[in-house]
Amino acid sequence: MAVIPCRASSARSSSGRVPAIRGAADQKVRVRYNCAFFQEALQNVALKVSQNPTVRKAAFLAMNTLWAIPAIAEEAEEKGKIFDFNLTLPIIVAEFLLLMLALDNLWFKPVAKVMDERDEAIRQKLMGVRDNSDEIKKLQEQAEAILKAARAETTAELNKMRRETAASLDAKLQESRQRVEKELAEALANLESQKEETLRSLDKQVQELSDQIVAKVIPF
Amino acid sequence: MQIEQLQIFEIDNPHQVSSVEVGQHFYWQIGNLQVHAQVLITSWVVIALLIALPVVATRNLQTIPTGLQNFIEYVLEFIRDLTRTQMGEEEYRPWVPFIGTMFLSIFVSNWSGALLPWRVIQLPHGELAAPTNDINTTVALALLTSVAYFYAGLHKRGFSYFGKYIQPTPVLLPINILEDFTKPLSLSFRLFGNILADELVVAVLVSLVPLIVPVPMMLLGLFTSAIQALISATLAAAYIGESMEGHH
Repeated sequence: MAVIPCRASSARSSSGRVPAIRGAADQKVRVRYNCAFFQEALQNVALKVSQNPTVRKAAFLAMNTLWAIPAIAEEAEEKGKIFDFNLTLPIIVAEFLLLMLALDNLWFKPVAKVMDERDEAIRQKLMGVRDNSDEIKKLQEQAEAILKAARAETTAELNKMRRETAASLDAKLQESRQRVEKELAEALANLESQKEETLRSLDKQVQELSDQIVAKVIPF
Repeated sequence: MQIEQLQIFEIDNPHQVSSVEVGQHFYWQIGNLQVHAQVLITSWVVIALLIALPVVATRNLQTIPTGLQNFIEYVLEFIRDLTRTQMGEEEYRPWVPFIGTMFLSIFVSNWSGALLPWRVIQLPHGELAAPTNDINTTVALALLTSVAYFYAGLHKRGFSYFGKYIQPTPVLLPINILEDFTKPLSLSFRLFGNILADELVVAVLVSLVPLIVPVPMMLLGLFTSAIQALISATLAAAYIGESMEGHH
């Protein structure tokens, strides 16, 4: 059974209550008195507890934990704290500021320069592209004008050609018609003369024939 | 945190069964002041990483970017966008280095604490971890943010900056003054609590079931620590923007 160590020896103080003695020895005696009193009370409790086995085990565990607490307290103080502020704080501040300067000069400035130059170049190219489209429009208009002029010219030429050929065609047509008419007239005249001739010869033949017929028909 | 390996027959006291000790520091003595050396060492590693990256990547900058240059341009674009969103188009340029350093240092600190195998290096006392798991770091960053937004307000508006304390109505004066204390407090504790708690949870899980079970928690830790970096930077930019803007 655990025993609270008292300053006084347990043998003497367990003998009973000691009357208070005044003077320099007061404090010591009071300690002994209190110690002895508690010890006695505890021993009474212990007697009661030791009669019940489960309570005894629980008390054993509790007492051991109670013993452990002072040990834990000592170790915590010895080993360090979570909220321990010291020179580390200003050193970290200084490190952060130096890191900021270093990163700014090594990383942010050069990379920002490259990125901004790239943006600028792209913007320039875009502007250039927009100017080109105006020129293209002008060239397109010129091309259309030329085309229109060329078309007009060709149609004029075409019309002229058409008229000329039509005129010459007409002339030729007229000429050939006249020739044809002339030949026709000649041929008709020829035919007429031939007809006259045949008619005349026919007349003569008819006369002869009729004389023969008469001669044959009318016997003498 | 130190996690003790415990054999079952060695238990003397119940408190030994589960003990994860937090707040162990590796002390260096400078003059008659102490520093947390583990924080300084890990912060030097973070600074080395953050300086090595642009030095390597800006060696041959081209108009059409490839590979690493693409990545650092993306990061700068992200930081610029973040700053511009909070502070507006006209005034964000001078603050990009500050917000960028805030974001990058917290991000790399947190991820280095989660990803790099610090336990390989044994310290005599305490152990190496993310530098942001120490209250000194986070309070340092929060105080820098406070100073930054005060400076921004005073630089832009002169002493009429103090008119913002009675801005919507003078009744809110105590609340506005209180805000000047709660802003850095919340900034520091948000970051500190997140990182330290994540480390604690992962440490406890690893001490119980080292194999697969801690992995989702570690992934969550990566995610939340990245978010914390973003939040810290965004809030810093928001406070600076708020103190620079005029009356609504």
